[in-house]
Amino acid sequence: MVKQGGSQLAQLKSALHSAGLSRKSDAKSKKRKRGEVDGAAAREKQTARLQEITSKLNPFELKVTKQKMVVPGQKVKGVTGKPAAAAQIGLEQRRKTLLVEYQQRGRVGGIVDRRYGENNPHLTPEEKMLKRFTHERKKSSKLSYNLEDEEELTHYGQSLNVLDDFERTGLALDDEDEVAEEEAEEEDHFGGFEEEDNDDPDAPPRKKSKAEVMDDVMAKSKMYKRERQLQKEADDNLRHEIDQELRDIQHLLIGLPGLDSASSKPHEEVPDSEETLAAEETANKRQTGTDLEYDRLIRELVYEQRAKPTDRLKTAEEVAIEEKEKLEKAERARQRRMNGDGDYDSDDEQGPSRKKRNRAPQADDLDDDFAPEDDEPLLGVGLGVEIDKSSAPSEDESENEDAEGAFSGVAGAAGGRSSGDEDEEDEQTSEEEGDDSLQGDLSESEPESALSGDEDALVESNKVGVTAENRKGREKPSRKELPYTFNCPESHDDFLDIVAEIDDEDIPTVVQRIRTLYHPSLAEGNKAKLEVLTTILIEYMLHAAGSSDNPFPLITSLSPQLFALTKAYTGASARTFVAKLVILQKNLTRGLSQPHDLGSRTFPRLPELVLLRLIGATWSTSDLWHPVVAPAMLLMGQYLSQGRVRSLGDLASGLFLCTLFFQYQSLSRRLVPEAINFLLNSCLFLAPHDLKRSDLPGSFPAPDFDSPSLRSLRIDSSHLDSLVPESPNLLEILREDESKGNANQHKVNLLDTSFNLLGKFAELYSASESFIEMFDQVHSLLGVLDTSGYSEALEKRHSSTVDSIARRLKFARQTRQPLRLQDHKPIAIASIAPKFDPNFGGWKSREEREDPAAEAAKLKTMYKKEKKAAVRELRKDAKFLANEKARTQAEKDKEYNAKMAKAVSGISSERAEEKMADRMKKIAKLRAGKNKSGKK
Amino acid sequence: MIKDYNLDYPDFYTRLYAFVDRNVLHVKYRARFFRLMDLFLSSTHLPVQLVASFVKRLSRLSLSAPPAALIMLMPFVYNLIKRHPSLMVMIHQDHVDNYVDPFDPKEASPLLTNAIASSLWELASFQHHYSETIATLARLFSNPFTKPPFLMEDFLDHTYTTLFETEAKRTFKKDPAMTFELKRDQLFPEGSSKDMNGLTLPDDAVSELWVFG
Repeated sequence: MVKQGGSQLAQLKSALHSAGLSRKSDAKSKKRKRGEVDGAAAREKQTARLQEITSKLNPFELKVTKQKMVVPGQKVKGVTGKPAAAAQIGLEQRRKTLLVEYQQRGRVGGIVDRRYGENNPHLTPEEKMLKRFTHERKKSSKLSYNLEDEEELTHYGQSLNVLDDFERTGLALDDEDEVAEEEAEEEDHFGGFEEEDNDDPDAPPRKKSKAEVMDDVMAKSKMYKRERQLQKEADDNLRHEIDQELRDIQHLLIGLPGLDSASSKPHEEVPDSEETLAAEETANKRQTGTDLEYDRLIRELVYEQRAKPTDRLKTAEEVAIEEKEKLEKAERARQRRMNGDGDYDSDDEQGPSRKKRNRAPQADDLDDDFAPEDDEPLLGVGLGVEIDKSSAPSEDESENEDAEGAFSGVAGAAGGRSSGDEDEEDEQTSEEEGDDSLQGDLSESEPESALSGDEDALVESNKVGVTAENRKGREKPSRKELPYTFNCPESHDDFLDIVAEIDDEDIPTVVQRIRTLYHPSLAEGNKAKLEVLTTILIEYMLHAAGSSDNPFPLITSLSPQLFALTKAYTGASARTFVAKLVILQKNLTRGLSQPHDLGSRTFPRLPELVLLRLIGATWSTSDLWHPVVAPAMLLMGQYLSQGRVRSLGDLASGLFLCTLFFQYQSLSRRLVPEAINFLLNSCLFLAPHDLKRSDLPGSFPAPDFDSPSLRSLRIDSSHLDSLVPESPNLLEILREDESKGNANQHKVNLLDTSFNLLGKFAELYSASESFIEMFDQVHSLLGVLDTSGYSEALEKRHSSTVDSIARRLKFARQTRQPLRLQDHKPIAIASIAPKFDPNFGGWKSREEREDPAAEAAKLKTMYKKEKKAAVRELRKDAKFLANEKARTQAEKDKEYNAKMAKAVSGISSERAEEKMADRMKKIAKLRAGKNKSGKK
Repeated sequence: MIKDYNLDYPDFYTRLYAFVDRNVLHVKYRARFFRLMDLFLSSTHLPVQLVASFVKRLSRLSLSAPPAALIMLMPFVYNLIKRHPSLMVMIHQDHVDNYVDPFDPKEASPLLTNAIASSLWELASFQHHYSETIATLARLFSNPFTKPPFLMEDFLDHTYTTLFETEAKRTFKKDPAMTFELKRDQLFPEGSSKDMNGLTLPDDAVSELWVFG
């Protein structure tokens, strides 16, 4: 309510003024009122405004409850109210509902009797019943729809059934029927329905009566129906017959060889030979005419299994396609493993991190979350082990650390062999001291434990010598019949026992037989036995490589067996390979720990090389990470970078390792710096040149460069031009280490191989970003070698290698661009979406909200409130009714009073008239008496 | 002292640069050397040309380095780039026509090598190194530089042996993948395959180059 200053009168005045209703404003707007067209509407408006003003001015129209603790902006219900208006509304409402109910309280409803003929007084009860019955029947017959009845569809009042026969439509029928068909067609075309009178063509067309037409139609349709049924029956019979017959001739049909060969594709399997035989037999017997036999055979044939269609054989094309698909699938899987992406199986170990990455990116992911290849795998590999390593060896080192002072801690895990004084020596390493100290330095020191003891035998066996001699002893034993059963060997020695008496050529057969005898499906535990056999086979191959004169035929012939076993028992085989690699690595560290002992060999010998070759042939070497190949490659790298070349055999072994590396990486093209380094060094060892250490191009390490002990490896230039390079023979070089007979030829072979390999590596890495840096040094080194004395073939190899590298270098220089490694989208600022709870239930806690007592109290309050409201409403109702009653009573009383008053007044006036008349009579009598007396 | 008190020693960095030679990644004191180098290059006040020269020379040397040295080198360079963000041009530079590598590897002074205009192709190419660990580390350079600098201590003390043991100890749940088929004829051919068939088998270098028995 707007509080304004001044008295009520002043307020009224100002309100009228502002509404433009005051007399002054009237005067002002006189001009406007000239028209007075819409006077009534204007007056209505005026009254409405006036009403508004009065209601505003009446302070009792509005009720205001004063609030305590007002919160701005808060809306509270019921602060202002209009009690008068509300009461008015309530009254109106009651008048509409309650009052009507009240007034109709004594009302009684009625039933209208609508029975047929009930209110007709002229009908007898019998007639009434009859009428009702017929009425009922009519109703029911209309409603029911009987499918059985011939309910006909019509067109222009004619039955459609006549047309509905498929036989008579224009569908494909036999030729003989054509004429009839045309007639039928003519009949059937919609439009006329002029039924022709076929019986009597001469007679003038007589219009048939409707009943006749209908009869005709019905007769026809019935006839057609009958025909159809007959035809169907005949068909069924025929079909049944044919079915029966077919069963009899079926086996004959299939049994005929002519039919089979006639069909172009081999649809069905060649039928059972037994069945064919039986068929032939029957034929024979029939000729002899022994019916009994015939019957018996027939009976047999009944029970004979019938030929069933089988899966057809695949055509050559399909087989080829399948093979191709298989290869393509294998290649795809290999590519995936090479790139290390997708659900690369062996990456499962990196478990959670992988899973995390596989999760679909979500809106509030921070960008660096889905940067590929986080450091988890890295930590899993290097660091993870490094942590537990650093705890373990650091204990060993702690003594050293104390002794060596400040810098010794820096030496880290390199503790091992290096004693304090050696370290000091290292610090003052100068160019002059070069070779020897570098040699010492370059062999990365290894833990002390590896130093003690001899080399571990790659294959543990105490029968090595015996068997080797045995086999040598019996040069050509008479070929005996091979036994067919063998015991499954439980150890390598067992196996040696088994094969002791057996020719090399037969050993694969022996393995094959053992595999067959102990097939895992034959007995429990065979699987474990065969797993052991896998291990034994690997050991045997290595053993053979170490002991036999020419082990390669044997190894080659055994390799399919090993491959098959590895395929079946992959895990076991992989573990065996890794175990062998571990032994090799231990031997290598042991060899490296005695750098000055010329007797210690660091480069792998034949068994080791065979193992690495088998790994390359068996396992997928292009994988990003492979449990067997990864350690094998690290081991090969260590051989190449840390092994000290002492002899031609070492060099050959190293070059063979380089070749293996090339073969391993021929698909994945990963960089192997060690191989390049070794190849360059081998060129330096073998080829005649007059380089000094300071002249060496590039940055590859050359620890043994120009060392006096290796001078003997260099090819004698007097022999160079006479020797034509061939493929180096690994066995010969490794075996004939000491005999120098063929040495120069071998050297030339190896040099040729080095050139060749360098060319091949250049080709392999030509797409690498650092190709220029890597092969620039190779190019310049090959350029400075002294090629004057080379034979023609070697010269050609050298020049072709140099040329191809130069060409690739030129191309790489032209195309190379600066790196653009950071070319990813800018990292978005982390947007953290607000935590939104769709089920927010106020500031109370969940427990508070769901307290049953509170719930009950709430219900109680609600109930109380509702009850009060209901009581209030009822009271109001009662009051209203009482008012209403009083009002009606008052009206009645008033009416009665008025009526009574009227009656009373009527009576009284009558009475007054009567009295008047009486009085007048009396007066008249009196006058008459007076007059009489007066006369008397 | 150089770090904390800005003491200048004449030609200190030139001499340090000269120490970074072809053997530094192969010798056994390389871990110690890198600890010191980390310390010397830790100042952010060093001219960027100088740091770039060191980085570039190390990356050159890495091409013939063993895996253990590479493991050390990658986080080292990563940290340097993180510390000197202006080195980012060495791993990310826009396309240039007729680009010629301006780096001069023979220049003795690290301030004059012009390495900053070059790129670290060598490190990038190690994204295809035969050791998965190194490939992963090399991939760091193509990821956003959001990681905190690496703790060098975790990477310094690797050797072939530790790496080998890590790999050999890794267990595998799934059976490792094998080659599709065994090429038995190529395993250890007795004569040259050229002589036997008149044509070389293209995908096996071993049987192509070597003769057995």
